[in-house]
Amino acid sequence: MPTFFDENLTTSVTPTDAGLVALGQRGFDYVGDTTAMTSNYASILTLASTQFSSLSSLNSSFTPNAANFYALTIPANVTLYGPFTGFRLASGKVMAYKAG
Amino acid sequence: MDSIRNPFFASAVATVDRVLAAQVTSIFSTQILNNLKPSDIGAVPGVNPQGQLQVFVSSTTDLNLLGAVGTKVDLFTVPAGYRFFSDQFAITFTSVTQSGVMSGVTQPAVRVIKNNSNAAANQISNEIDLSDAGQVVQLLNKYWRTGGAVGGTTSTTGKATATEGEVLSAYITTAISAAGTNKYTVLTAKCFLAGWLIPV
Repeated sequence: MPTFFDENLTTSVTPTDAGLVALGQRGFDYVGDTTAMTSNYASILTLASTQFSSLSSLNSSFTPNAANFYALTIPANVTLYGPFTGFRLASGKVMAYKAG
Repeated sequence: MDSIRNPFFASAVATVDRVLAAQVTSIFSTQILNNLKPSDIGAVPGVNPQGQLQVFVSSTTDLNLLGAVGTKVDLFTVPAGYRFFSDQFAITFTSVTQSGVMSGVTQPAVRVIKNNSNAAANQISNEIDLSDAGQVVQLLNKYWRTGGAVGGTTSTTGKATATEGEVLSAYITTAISAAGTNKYTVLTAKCFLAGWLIPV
């Protein structure tokens, strides 16, 4: 999957950068298959009806409510607000915006 | 210090835990949310530093789009201690059966309303007009020709907030025309609502 990354924002996030991260200017991963993705993501935007099979956060204690969340078909154009550290799709297409 | 200092946040999470179990899908386990520490804020998906919780609601029964104006499915009751801000409303066709190719018929329109009223003050989402630009007619014709495949989605943005205790429903605001009804035997949709629960 293509990865787009702003080389000017490769260092740690400063307060000045924080707004850029929120706007997705750290770059993004486009994912349209079931490849396991591992990175720091600020948010995930669905581009088509999407189901997740895994989703993880910075704090590993926080795991999705599997019975509800993984069964949910999320329509296109919904933003899931992170931060996330990884995910895998069961189906669909997403744009995952990098946090750093 | 291992406890949440913001009293709104602590009490609201406990309330939401009970509501979410029955009606709403949050991104992460609501039981775990009860154990949030201050250091977790900013590291927990779907919860912002103000203690606002992103939620997704999916109707447990499908909306019958062949129904008259006022046909609805309930989605969600805003829990005590919160107001709800609507982000997005979407419907996905779950079952479509036609007796012929569609053309020139009036399709239904749906929006989210609260408290069983479509008055302007009670409209939570913008309206999804299924006749918009003829796209849905094209979509349904494709389904019919391909054996009734389903899954097409159309959506709109949120519009207003609801306060605690108010019941939100997906509601048919324009009924399908008689000509259209004659061409369908089944037309149902799953309703999806995304938004934020905001502590009050």
